[in-house]
Amino acid sequence: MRNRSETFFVPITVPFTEIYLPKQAGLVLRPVQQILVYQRNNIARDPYFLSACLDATVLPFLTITLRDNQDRELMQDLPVWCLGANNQFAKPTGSIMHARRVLADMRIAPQKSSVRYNNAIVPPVGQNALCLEFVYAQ
Amino acid sequence: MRPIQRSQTIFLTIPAGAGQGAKVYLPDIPELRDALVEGIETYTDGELAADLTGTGLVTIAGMQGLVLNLVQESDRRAQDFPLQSLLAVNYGGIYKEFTSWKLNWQKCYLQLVTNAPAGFAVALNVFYRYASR
Repeated sequence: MRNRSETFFVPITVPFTEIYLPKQAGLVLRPVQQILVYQRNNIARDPYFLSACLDATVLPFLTITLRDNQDRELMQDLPVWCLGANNQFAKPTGSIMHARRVLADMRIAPQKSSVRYNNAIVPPVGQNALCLEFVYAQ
Repeated sequence: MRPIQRSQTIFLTIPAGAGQGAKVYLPDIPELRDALVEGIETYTDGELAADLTGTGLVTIAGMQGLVLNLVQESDRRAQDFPLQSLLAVNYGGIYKEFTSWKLNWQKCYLQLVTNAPAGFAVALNVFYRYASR
């Protein structure tokens, strides 16, 4: 059950290899229960800077590492695809389910956490916002 | 699925020309030496394009040519486990849960059941916790 969430947009300017998450008040104060990534077909643009959100073709080139304030890596090099809110798959029975990962109330330090980009391919021009929703336990 | 406490993605390289029966042992990862492993999942190039050095990840077809062996002390906890069965996208994102295995990583290995003319990378995402922390 959701209690509270914050959605923010990580600006991605190509080329880059590693970019740190912006400092968000909620992240600093609250343990994280779930993280979801939204693609362009969920939300077209960053509402503040109007940058186009990344589409599904770019996500396989991103990994994310989450660290706490003691620089301990809580999740290292996790494919961003795993956090996709759109991930829905057909079960053998034919019903559709969404993959939802529940985290054990992680206390994340956003300024120490980062997204890495494997620059084997350059995203199309204009795609430069990664949308992340953090769902908090409190 | 149990809530995830920590995770670490291990990348291995299957060299070009690796033949049927070849074993590729997992590296020693300091963070995982005392880890209690609660689950492992893997990906194809559709979910993660490449490893951190840019080597392309295994394809769906290539995944069918790999089995995984996981060893705790000298006890093989998972023997010739088809790696494809750990593919997250095939199982609705659900990962298979283990009963908290403390693995001897350098004794764990992938084995090829088919030839691999072209090299590729394999990613194993390990979900784990520490007993004392």
